[in-house]
This record gives sequence, C-alpha cells and structure tokens, in this order.
Amino acid sequence: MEYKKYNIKNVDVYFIKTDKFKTIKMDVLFLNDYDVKDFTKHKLLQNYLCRSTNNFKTEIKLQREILSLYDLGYGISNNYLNVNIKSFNLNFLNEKYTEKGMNEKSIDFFFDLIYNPNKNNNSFDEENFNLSKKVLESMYKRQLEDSNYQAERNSISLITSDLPIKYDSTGNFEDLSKITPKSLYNFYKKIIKESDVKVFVIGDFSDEEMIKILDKNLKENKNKDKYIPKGFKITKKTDNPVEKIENANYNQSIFIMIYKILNITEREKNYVLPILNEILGGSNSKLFKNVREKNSLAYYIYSTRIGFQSTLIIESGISKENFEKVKEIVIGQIDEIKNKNITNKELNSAKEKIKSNVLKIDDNQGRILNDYESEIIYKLKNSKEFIKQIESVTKEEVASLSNKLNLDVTYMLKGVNE
Amino acid sequence: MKYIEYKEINEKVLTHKLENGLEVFILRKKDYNSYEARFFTNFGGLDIEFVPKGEKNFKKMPAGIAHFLEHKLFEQKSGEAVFEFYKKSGTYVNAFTNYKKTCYHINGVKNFKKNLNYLLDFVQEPYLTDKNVEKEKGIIIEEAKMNLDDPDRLFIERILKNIFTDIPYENTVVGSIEDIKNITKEDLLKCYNTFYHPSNMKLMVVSPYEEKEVLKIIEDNQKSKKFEKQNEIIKKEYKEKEEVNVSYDTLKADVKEKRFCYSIKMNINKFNANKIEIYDSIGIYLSFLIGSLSEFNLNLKKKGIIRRNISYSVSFEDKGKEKYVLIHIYINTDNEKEVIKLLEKELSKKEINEKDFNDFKKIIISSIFFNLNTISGTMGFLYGTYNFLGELDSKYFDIEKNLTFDKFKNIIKQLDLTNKSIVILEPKE
Repeated sequence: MEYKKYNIKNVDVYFIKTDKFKTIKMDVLFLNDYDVKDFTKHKLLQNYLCRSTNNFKTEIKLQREILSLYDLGYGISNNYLNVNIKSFNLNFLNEKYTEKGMNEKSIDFFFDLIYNPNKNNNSFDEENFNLSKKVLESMYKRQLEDSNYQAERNSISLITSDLPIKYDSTGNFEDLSKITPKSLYNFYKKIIKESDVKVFVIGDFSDEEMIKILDKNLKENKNKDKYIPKGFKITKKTDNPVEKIENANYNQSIFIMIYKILNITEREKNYVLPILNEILGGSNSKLFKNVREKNSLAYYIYSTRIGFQSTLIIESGISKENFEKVKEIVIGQIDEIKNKNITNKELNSAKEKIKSNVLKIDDNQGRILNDYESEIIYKLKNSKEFIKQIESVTKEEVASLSNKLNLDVTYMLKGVNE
Repeated sequence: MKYIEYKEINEKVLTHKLENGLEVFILRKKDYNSYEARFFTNFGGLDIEFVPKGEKNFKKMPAGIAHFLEHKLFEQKSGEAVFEFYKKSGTYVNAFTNYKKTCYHINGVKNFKKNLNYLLDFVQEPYLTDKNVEKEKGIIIEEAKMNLDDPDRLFIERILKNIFTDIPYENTVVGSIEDIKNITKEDLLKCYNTFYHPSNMKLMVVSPYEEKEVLKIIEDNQKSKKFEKQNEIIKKEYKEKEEVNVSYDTLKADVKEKRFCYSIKMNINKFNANKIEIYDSIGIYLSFLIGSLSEFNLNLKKKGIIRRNISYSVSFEDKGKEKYVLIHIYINTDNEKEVIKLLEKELSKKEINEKDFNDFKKIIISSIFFNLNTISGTMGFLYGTYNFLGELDSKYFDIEKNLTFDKFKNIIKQLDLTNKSIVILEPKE
C-alpha cells in the first residue's frame, strides 16, 4: 500500500487509502522529551484523558456519546525510546455502514479528547482525577498478584546500565501520591506545547473530506521534526553479573536471565537480533527443545529482545530445585550459537517466521499504520526492504552477535508453596 | 454443500458434510494475505466418563485427559515434531482444550495447501508410546503448577463448580497433579479412538482462496484415508438439577483486592425465545442496568465502594439434559454484603426505554464489523457463533438486527434472578 503525504498546519499527515477494511483507523502521534521520573504522570494522564472532556464532563456522558457513535474505539499508548512517542488511537466504523456524517462526528469527538480535556480554571477536574487515581492504585495492586510481573520487575530493576526499561513505565504508588489535579494539568499543557505532532490515517475515504476535517481540528505545529527517536547503545561490559533469588508464596518459580548486548550496530539491531532471538528462544527454539522437550524442566521458556535498549531477556516457569540446571542449559545453548552450531533449518525457519509476520502486516489496519510509523519516525526500512535484509543475514553474523551477549542478571522468584 | 450468506456484512460461508462425517466451513477473505484454519473435536475437560469405542461399559478417566491428549498429538513418528514442520514456512501452530472442546489451529501466509493437509494429517495420525507419555507428565505438571498460581483461573473454576451439581466441574481442564500422574497410554488411545473420528469433528477455514478449491483440498485428503464406521458416542448423561450447588462460598488466594462473582442460573425453557434473542436481550439489559455506562456502576465508583467497572457475561450450558442460561456479574469491592444488597435491588427493576434499547443495540452490530476486519477476528466470529449456537445460519444476523423492543421486554419479564451462587475471592491474610 502506498501513502500520500500532506502538510496541514505544519503537521505531517499521511493517508493510506484502501477499501479492504470496514473501519477507518487514525493515529495521532505526539513526540516529546521525557524523564523516567514522570512515568506515573504519563500513565495517569493516559487514564484521565480517556475518562471525560470539557463537552462530556462525566464518564457516563462520554460513554453514551461513544455509544451513539457506533461504539467507536479509542485509546492512548506510550512508547519510550530516547524520546516519548505518545499515540492517540481512533478506530471507527466507516460511515458507509452507518450514517452519513459519522466520519466527521467521530473524528471531531476524538480531537475533543486530545485538545479539550475536562478542566476547571487551571486544573483538571478533581472528581475525575480521583477516579483515575483509584484505577491506577487498583492496577498496582493487581500487579502484586501477578508472579510473572513481579519477577520481571524485580529482575529488570537489577540491570547495571541506566536504561529506561529499569523503571516501571506504568508508574508506582509513591509517585502517584504526589500528583495533584493542578500538577497533572500543567504536565499536560507542557506536552501539548512542546510536542511535534504527526498523523496517520488508513481506510476508505476522500482525501478532500479528510483534509477538511483535520484542518478544522489540528492545531498549528511549532515543533516540526524537533525530536529524533534513537535507541540506546551499551558499551560498558558487566564482569560480575548479579545473581539473586527471592522467596514468594507461589507454587511455581520464575526464572529470568538478562543479557546486555554490547556495541550493537544498526544492522544487528534491525535484522540479526530478531533472527538470533528466534533461534535461541522463539517457538520450538534451542531453549524450548532443550529445557522443555528434552529435559521436561518447564512448560514455557522464551526470550524477548528489546533492540532499542540493547537487551535480551530469557524467562521460564520452573521448579525451584532446577535453577542451576536450567541456567546451565541456557548458557550452553548460547555457547552453541557462539560456536556457529546453527543448522540451515534453524536459520531458515527463523527467517521464514519473521518474513511471515511481515507479510501479515497488510491484513491488519493497526499493523499497517505501525509499519509506516516505523518507517517515517524510527527511520526503519519498509517491509519489502526489510525482507531483503532479513534474507541476507548469515550464520556468521548471528554467531558474531551472540558473542556480544553479556550476562548482566540471573534471577529467580522462588515459589515456596511447592 | 450450501452457502450461508450474511448480506448486510458482505460475507458468506460454504458448508459441507463429507462422506466420513467431517463437517467443513469455508469463508473467503479475498484481498487478504494470510489464512487461518481450526480443526476441533467435541471432546473437552468435562468428558471423562463415557463408553470407549468397541467396549460395553462406562469408564471414568483421570481428569485432564483431553488436554494431555492434545499435547501428545504434536508428537510425530517421523521424529520431526509438528512445530518443526510449520516453522519451515513461518506458520503459527497451536492448540487449546477447554471444558467442551479440543481445537488445533494454524495461522500463516505460505504453503496453504501443504499446511492444511498437514493439519488434518497430524491430528489424524496419533503416535503414542509409553516413553513419550511419561515424558509429557513433567511438562504438564509444570503447567498445572502455573495454573495454581493464577487466582483468576482458580476463581472461575470455583464459580463453575458451585453452580453445577451433576455436571463434573469439580474437575479442571488440565487435571490435578495426581490425575496427570495416573494417565496411561492405553487410556489416551481409548479417548482418541472414541472422540477423534471425523464425524465428531469440524474444520473451519478462513483464507483468500476460492471456497470450492479449498473444499477440494480437504476432500482429496480425507478420501485417501480409511475410517471405521462410528456409532453414536455414549457419554455419561448429566441430569443437572435446577438449583445451584453452593449458594455462597469464599476462596482465599494470593490476591491483593477482594472481589466477588454473582452468578444466576436459569432454565432456558422459561424463555419463549431462541438463544440469540435471549443472549442479546440479557446483554443489553445488563449493559444498561449495571454496565460501565450505568448510574449504578458510576455511583458506586464515585463513592469508592467499588474499585473498577462492574463486568458481566452471559453464557449457556448445554452439557446436561436440562439447558441453562448463566449470568456472571463480577464486582471488585471490600463491602460485598452491602453491594450484593444494592445489586439485587437494581436487578429487580426491569426498566429500560426504547431509545436506550436501540442505542445499546448499536454495540452488537458494530462489534461484528470490527471483528471482520482481520482474519483472526473473522475466524473468532465464525468459531464463536457456531459453538454458541450449535449451527450457522444467516437468519441469526437478521435476528440481531431485528430484535424488537417488545420481544426484548418479554424476555426481560421472564428473568428469574433468585437461583444464585456467590463466590468471594479474597486475600489470604
């Protein structure tokens, strides 16, 4: 699919036209600097803005309006690289299936959410603020019930490099207690003032009509191209990895190993790391075959790559007495890759999996938008070029990248209920 | 062979029953790149007492056997595991077992014909040995342990166990650790031979390909195989009485917030309506009365009596001789006694005006469109509708659109909310 680019009030706007889907989807992206200390504020703001607006001052009024707009979908998400990319997302039924004028009504409503929040004087509305606060408090309590979440947060906080991932992007109780309706409003104003805005729209609509609606709703963008999203490179090696075991009242133990990737290149981050990750800890991978199938030590074991933060995380649910054994197998399998003990089958299967994923992008509106956003904002290659690059990756490159893996943390949340 | 057409949403399904009894449903999504197929059997966690094929007496199997069998079908004689095969073309394969069914599914972009054939082949060619059965026990025991640490799962298991007396919900889908240890190769084969005959199975395919072409692939595959004649499967019949098993219960688990589930069990014969009409009417009614948009929900949140939106679900239980409609209402609160009183008062109101009814109906219509945007969503729609109704018919979409306010009012009038079962989920300390 091709896109058409427009400039509306100094905002870069991208249209992807197709009649394949029954809905129209829009992402409005705000790019801005951020501080990890503000994670809780970002999370609270996310909830507050979705709850009410100046035109619909209670949740019930807002939700009833959404109902009359054929139950449109909307949300806000945050992505943290060196900059924050705050994405406001809208998805609504194309008016050709409902009533004429619904496209405009839906988009007007959406921008109301972004630019016209519920406020009194120079502060957010106290009642709605408190409701949002309660939601976050409830979320933090639920996190304490989730053994995987606990193990992940506890282990990641031990990482020796100062990366954003070390800090829980959903926030915490302590920071939440310090935020007021006024301070959150000021925080919101700052974001609106300082952000660079970009818009992506996919669906079946007329350019002319959509430009008119966006021109009505968008504000003048004074920060065009001000922020350049980049990843984090780690150069410092860990010679003494942290090893920690903590007890918890669970039946199963959660085992985590975290590796830093030293001096990762752009090519490695974008094309080699996905393949290494798939071979090591993807479906039916080396870890799966050796920890689960051969030794029956786990129901699940997998690895996750966070390329932009040069990190690889391995996680498994095991019985506590197998800690050393599983650790040995993981280290052993990474050594296998270092020694180029990768079969053609393993390499090709990994490539096929990744390519397959890419080929599915065109079947999903959200993924199509993300693909264009990656290309335009993160300066990654488009799908066709990406597939070519993936195909060109060699065993030597995978082995070479695995030699950059530096063990930083080994952790177990030991279940003492067994 | 016939087509079921959903004119308003511009989709159609080809359906056909093969000679060996396998029923097939094929939907084409023309401009898409990927495909999904689901091959499933009417054999799940509740089916532990039945007459094995070729035998005369009932046998009671250890709980978890359907799930164990699901794991084992991924084993192949040739040594190349199922995962390995599909990995070569980057195709996703997995399976799941619930209380009623076991389902094997694939999702991919390449090698459609080869991969669809393989799906049918690997499920229809079991390879069980004493050694590979023994090996699997360790893995499934870890899965069972993982589930014991999932309070929401334990909660649902308890809720179902307390609603039903006769239908054996005291058994979990994965089975207890003791159950798993007691499963034998012979028992697994008995289950396989009884429940995996094509006449007890269905195949659904959502793909970009022409329906009759897809049907030919399936027919050619099945023609080349020989299946013994299958008599009707004799499963233990559950009468299932009307009253709930346990009306009030507390479950302590590793949770930080107390919550409860208020369930209501109603005999489906009380309503003079079909399943879709009942389901949509109750859904609209609950949405309006206690859903996230309701005054009831918002007031309780504002006063801090409940911590999050009330959620609910409507489902049907077909396992017993008598069929039931179930409502589950989930509320997150420390003051369960007070909230239950308020909830019961609210539920007895039975008022809704026609404008609100029409607005809430919009949700039902639009959710179908949202699902049909993706291959997975379309498969979910097909699979969900079929399993919910027991069949697929275009008249059901019409019913959704044409559910009248009068019909709705009549159904709501018949709601009997007295047969209830409450489970409180609370922290251990």
